[in-house]
Amino acid sequence: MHQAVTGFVRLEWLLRLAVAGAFVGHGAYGAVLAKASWFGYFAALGIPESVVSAHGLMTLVGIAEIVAGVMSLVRPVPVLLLLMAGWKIFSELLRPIAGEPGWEFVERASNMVAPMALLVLSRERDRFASYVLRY
Amino acid sequence: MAAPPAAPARAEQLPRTVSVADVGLLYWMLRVACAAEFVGHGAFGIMTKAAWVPYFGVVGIPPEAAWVLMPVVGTIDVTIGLLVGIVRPMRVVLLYMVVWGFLTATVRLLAGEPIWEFVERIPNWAIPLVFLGVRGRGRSRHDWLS
Repeated sequence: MHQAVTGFVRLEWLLRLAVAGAFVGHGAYGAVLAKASWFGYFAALGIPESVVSAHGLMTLVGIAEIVAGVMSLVRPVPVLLLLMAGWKIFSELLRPIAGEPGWEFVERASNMVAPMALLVLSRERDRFASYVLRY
Repeated sequence: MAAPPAAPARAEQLPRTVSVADVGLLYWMLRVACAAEFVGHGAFGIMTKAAWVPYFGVVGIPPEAAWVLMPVVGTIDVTIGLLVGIVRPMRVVLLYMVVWGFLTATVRLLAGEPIWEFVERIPNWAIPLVFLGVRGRGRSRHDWLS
């Protein structure tokens, strides 16, 4: 394999780890720890605490994030990465909407960018690899 | 007589690192992410945040000193973020971001917070590391400062 393609693959694995970390770590707060501040995010969407508790929504969202995170590590499918990028921006936007400082959103830029960066990098790797193979 | 057509580039002649020119969109995504991460994190230091006090305690700094040092740490973070975002993403500064991002994520664990705080913050050091990889390893002191 060409050295530059190997470089792409290494960076891709680093991004896979980053995406998985962002989602598994965040999801664990819902699924494992049931973090109280999450009720505020549901409230920002008009879902009261009683409904969240009765339907186990926090656990559900947390598990979904963990599953998505593990999948991005094992097999990062482009459509999943797009959905994850959208979800991350949406869920982080809930922080300022729920009354937290706007910096909480800004600070998490790396978590939001990671899925899109993985998508772009894997496409660039494919493009570059096909270019190398042509010659 | 006409010159012979140029021979096609061989794989060995292609760039050996992932160059900036090859991945323009990725370059800007990573640059903005690194800058925002540090500006956002630094803003909390400047505003001062009670949750940061135990992190200073991990390295033996008492609470009174922690409150004084917080804006200093925050200002450094914001400066680093603006430097990368607006001025230029120097390799040496990206390396600093990797190390600082890793240390600040690790200190949470040492302060007794759940491991998930560390896991969730993997992008904080991984994204600057990827950016450093995209820019390519510096081969001279000048490269590391550019």
